[in-house]
Amino acid sequence: MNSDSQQRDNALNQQLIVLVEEIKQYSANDDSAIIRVKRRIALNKFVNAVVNSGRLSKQTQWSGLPNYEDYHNEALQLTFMEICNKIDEYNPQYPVMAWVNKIFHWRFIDVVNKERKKGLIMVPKGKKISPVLSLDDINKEIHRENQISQEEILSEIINKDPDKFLISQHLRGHPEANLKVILLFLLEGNKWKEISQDLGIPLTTLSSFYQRRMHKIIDYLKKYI
Amino acid sequence: MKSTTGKLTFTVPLSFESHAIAQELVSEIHNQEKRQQVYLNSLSVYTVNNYLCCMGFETDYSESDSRNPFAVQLMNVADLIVKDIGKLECVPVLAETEVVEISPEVWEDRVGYVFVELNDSLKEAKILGFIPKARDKVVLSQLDSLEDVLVYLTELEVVESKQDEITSHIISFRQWLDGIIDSSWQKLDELLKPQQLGLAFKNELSITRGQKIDLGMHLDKISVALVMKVTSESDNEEVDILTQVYPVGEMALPEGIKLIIGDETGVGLEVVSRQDDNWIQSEFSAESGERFSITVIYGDSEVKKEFEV
Repeated sequence: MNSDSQQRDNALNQQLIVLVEEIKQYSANDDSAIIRVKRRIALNKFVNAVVNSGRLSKQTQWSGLPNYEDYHNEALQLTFMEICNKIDEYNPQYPVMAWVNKIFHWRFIDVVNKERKKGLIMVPKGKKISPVLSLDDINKEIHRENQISQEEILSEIINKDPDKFLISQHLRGHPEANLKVILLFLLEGNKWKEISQDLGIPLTTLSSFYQRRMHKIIDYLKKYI
Repeated sequence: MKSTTGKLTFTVPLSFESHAIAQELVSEIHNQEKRQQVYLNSLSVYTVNNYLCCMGFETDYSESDSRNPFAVQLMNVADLIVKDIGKLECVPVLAETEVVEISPEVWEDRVGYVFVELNDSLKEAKILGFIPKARDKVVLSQLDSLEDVLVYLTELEVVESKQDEITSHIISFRQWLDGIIDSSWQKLDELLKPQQLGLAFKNELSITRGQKIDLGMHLDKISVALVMKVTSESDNEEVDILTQVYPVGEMALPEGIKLIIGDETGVGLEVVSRQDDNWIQSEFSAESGERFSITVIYGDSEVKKEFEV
């Protein structure tokens, strides 16, 4: 049994070593796009091979933490980044997965320390505060009383248009197709198709006019917030 | 262990950091549809940023519009600035979606569109593929692969860095007029015989420098001096440029030396030496910031220099 699993580990390590050698063979700063692409493809394959190896540590010493899965995911994500950026430093004296799991362990400690500072670990037992929202969670607990939304603040400024800037910016020959009108339409949740039909102006003309002025609009609105 | 060959994929685990960024952005948005849009866009950009950083690209994540609370409120935007390459739109896709619409406000000013699949738990994101140009509706089964993303972005990256190198070789006349002249451009009395001097250069407020250029092969090998005289009028953005080619060590140029001035469009002036010409020249003016090239050709060999006013 034991020697079987050892054999499998050796075969896995050989496979990973081949990929590491392939990556190292191509310089990240080579003048040739082909060389750089080859390195990146090998790097991508390497990360996939690590994920699919079945030998990534579960880091079970932390399995008692509330939100253990989130800690695990955060540390794993940091580990991917680090093995990609430090692949040239890997010492082939050690098995590849030992190197990866050591990094994974250190990053796990970092994440735990960071979150502990934020006080998340002090959450009372049984009460699970999840900082990672699911699709269904996104819209829960937003109706806080007495709080004005950003939409309301923005639409007030746009309606007032204190310097008459938004109304002055319009498509040539179409004073009615100005930024104020477009912005109010958008804040009400209208789609570009509807706005285009309403103003009788081609959609691409309108959206491109709007997009190009975005930074001016933001700078203007910021002055009054 | 599963196969490591075949179609390339990349999956990013999403946790505290990615969700904290998304939650910060939606914290003051009450409209449900907008909240979901901003949240998913934010996770999608985070995912692509993470992938590109793993692959050794440099990004400007924090400067992207997708990180700006106003921009996300006013546009359906999920951009990521990739340094020296441009903006990549990172379109989020929920599981089992087949067709995606790209929002019109991001149809322009993008180097490409990357599609990111998010699962319902939002704990994991998978990069699906990309298209280089915006389309109204995108069928996900027809996307270019992740390998294509790497090839496409790397090619843009390499082209960009080569252009940077070219720029550093361009000779700036503004610097000449400020007295900063590369020592490979010599004073004329160091380069030419006294008899050759004074033919065209009188006492003017200008800078004149020359450089020795070797042309031709074997028996046909000759050396010429490329001479540049730059005159600037103080109240004018324009610079007058006189460029001449002299023989070095001889008094006359061989027949058939070409001097070509080209601008950015490639169109240019051309002068060819006739028998017993002592020099050939070309005169023109250029505006500040304008770039042009000077090419000297003899037989099969040519030397090209790039300048900026």
